[in-house]
Amino acid sequence: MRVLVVAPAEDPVAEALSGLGLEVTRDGLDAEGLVTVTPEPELAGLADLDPAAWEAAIRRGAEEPFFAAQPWLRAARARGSGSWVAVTSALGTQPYPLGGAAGAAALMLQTLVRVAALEGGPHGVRANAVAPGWRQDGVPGGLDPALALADTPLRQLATAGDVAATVAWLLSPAAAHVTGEVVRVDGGYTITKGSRPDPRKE
Amino acid sequence: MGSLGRRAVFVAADVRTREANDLLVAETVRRLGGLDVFCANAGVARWQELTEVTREDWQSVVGVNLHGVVHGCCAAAAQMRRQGSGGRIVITSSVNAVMPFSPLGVYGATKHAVALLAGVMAREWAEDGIAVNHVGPGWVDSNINDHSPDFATPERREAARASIPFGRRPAEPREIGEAVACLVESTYTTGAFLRVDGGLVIGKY
Repeated sequence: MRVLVVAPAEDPVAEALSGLGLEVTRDGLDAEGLVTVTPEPELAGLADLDPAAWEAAIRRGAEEPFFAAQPWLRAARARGSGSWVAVTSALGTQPYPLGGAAGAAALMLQTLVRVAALEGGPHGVRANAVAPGWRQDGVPGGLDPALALADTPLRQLATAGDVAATVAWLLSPAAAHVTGEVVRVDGGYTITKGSRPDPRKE
Repeated sequence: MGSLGRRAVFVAADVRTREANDLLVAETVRRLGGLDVFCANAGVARWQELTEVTREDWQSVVGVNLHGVVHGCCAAAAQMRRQGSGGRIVITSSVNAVMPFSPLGVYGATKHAVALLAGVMAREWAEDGIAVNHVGPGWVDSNINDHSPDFATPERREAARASIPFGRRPAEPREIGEAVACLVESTYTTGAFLRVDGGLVIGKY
């Protein structure tokens, strides 16, 4: 299956997709699959965040991936088939202190995916999101990896391969009847207490 | 409002920027003496499928509904922190904060984001004594719906009425205000969502 991948340069998830037998292309609106990968989230308190940084986080996590997906969505709709998987962040599934900007952007994209599923469904287009928790290769600066681990029931952080495997499943015919779904790949992070006021401390 | 014995001031502001919200808060404090309650109510909607959204559409809806709310709440919270005695923030979100609707994708994305942010603010600012909650209207008979295809014809308005279990009618703006007042008066509610929609979306999300 040919998959158009829109991701930061050298993103490990994008690289892991190639290892799963998918033909990854960086341009090609005629590709059957589309994968958008947003950059790893940055943590910051809303009160401390300057307006430019806030707006940049929304652009990075929601606006740019959406407008990258839009021409592909039009092409897929005209073609009558296609599957979009957006790799977002588990910060969009619960309100976490310091996760405001990244979480808002992630939830925006997850919502747009669900609406794309509503609007694309009658035209044969599926849309789903993956919401990774902390990744081994992407624990944000300032967050103690030991704390991230302690808050993850499986006691290990996600690899790029864990995320890519779920993406590949959502793209595949095995998920032919799955659309508008947000799949958390977070080792259980979002079902744990998640109540640290500030994951950088304590 | 003056005739009711209240002091009221009107300050025009483009809520999309932090500067305008800072000025709005400063002018309010200068003329009324302080800020105890902040309601982020400004919102705009555009009805279009995702494949039709332009950058201008995006910036218009996201600018007011998301950036406007965040910049306003941050400006208000900064003032409440300076005063040192906490405060109340109530955001007008929507039933679109809990379920997706078509063709209102970008609007729904901003409302979902605002709902999440109400929770983040409630957690981050609890130690300052600032409570943050949001109310979710369904159909309110106000001019935000002037361009909604759901109300474009008498038949569609009738169908919209029929879809509302409680009262078979839209909300009056006053009824949303009363819900805001409930949240302002509560001394122990934060991070909560109060849906005020006549039951429109019960069991649908």
